[in-house]
Amino acid sequence: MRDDEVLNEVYVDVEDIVETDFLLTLIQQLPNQYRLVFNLYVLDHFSHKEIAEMLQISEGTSKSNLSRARSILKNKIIEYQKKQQGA
Amino acid sequence: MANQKNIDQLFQKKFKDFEQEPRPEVWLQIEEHLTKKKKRRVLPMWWYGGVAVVLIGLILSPFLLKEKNTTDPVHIQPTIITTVPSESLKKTIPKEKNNIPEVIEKRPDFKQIIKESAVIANTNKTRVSKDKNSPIVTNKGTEKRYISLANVGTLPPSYLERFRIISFKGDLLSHKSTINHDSSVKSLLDVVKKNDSLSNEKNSFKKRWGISPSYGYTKSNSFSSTSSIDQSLDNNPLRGNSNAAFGVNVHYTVSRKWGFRSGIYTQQLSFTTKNIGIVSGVSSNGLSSINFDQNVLTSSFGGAVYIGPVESSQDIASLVSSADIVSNNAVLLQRYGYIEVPLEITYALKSTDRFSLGLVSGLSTLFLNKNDVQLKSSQFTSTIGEANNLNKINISTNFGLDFDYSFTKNWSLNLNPMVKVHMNTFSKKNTNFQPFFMGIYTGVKYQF
Repeated sequence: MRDDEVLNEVYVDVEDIVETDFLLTLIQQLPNQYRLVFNLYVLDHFSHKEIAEMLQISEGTSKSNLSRARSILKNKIIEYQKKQQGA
Repeated sequence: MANQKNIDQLFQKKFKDFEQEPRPEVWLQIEEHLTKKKKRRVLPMWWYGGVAVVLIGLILSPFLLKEKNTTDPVHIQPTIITTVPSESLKKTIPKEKNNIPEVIEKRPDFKQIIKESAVIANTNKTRVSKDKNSPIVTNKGTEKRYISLANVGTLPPSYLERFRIISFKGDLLSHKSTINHDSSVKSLLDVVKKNDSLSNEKNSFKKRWGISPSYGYTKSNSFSSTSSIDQSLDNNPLRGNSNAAFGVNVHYTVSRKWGFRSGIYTQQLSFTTKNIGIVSGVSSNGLSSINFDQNVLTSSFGGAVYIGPVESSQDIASLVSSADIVSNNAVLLQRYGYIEVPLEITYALKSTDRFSLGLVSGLSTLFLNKNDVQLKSSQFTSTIGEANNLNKINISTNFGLDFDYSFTKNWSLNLNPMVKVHMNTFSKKNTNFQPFFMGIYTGVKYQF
């Protein structure tokens, strides 16, 4: 419950600042494989198993790609936010 | 974990109602590309034919296979369109093997739709993902899955067969009334535009011809340490020398990856054999593969002369009373040169807008145009004759790399290290010499 509240707060913060086309650019900047896995998992809601089968990679690779994609995106968003706040 | 969820949710929410419509030009371009691609595949390699193609094809086959598996995503990237079809539309779509070209080609009114879609830049279509509010979620568990076209290009064909790729006809028209403009679409169109120009750049293989005058720094080498001139000199130290090569090379691009290369070059090889002894007053009995120039021998050594390994020359000098040692430390310099006509296949390993790296492989036909043997010592240098065991026409097999750095659209710098193994240098079997040739060619390439 507490967690959810925190989550929501942060969520709103992020949403206020980040524009859709900025997010789109971020996705497009991801390395191909990361982008693919991220899109399939987060936006297209495929499971790791399905993604692994589709891309002919292992599930572990899929998971690792996803987490790397997330961390890249996260860092870029944080960077962006800092820049915004600085300006 | 909180952060991860956060990221996911952020993207999910932002892209929930996210739809984009590519500009009509993009669709047309894709369509054009599809038809062109088919034609291009038919493009013959017939007039090159021959062994080279087969051999090199075999060598490069791993790359070839790789290329087949990775469909070029550039032309598909700009389109992220999938919608839930209306029941009637679904019937018109064949159940098997719905790959993109088929879907598009089966649409006679395609261009008409494009025009309309340009007007309706943003419609309230059902989105791709299995959102909670989307009708697709009710189909979860069945085989109905939708996948954005953006990802299609990178998926293996076998997997794609399980999907129905549905174009945008059904919903577009029915949602005409819900046109609204928001910033995301505008920016997306920009993105599409960017992709569009990007794909144009990558299509630069449309510049089919390239011509490049080049200069080469070359080095003569041998797989064997034996003499280039005569077996009696096999134990003498041998050194390959460096030379220069000039020429023009013409490049013809067949596809984004493959091309042919030909041209005309000079090629010169030279080898120095050291520790040569010269003894005058003895008739020459060695070096049967040299046609001596008797005039030069007479003027330089008074006629009869022995030229051979230092050890033998000393033996002879001690045995024959009339003999006179002229030099114990001379060298024989053999030089021969060709006019080279290469026929090579190029394969692009990696290419960016500015830089490209490729493999080159093929054959050269070599026409002998220079052939002499010089005798050098500290006192004199004279051309004493020419080799009589060289073939007039030689063949070399070539391998190398090709770097290109383009500084304008048409001009690029070219660096091309090559190894050329000579197959058919000698007409007689009186030498075990196996020469090869290394060269680094640089030039400026003009493409048109």
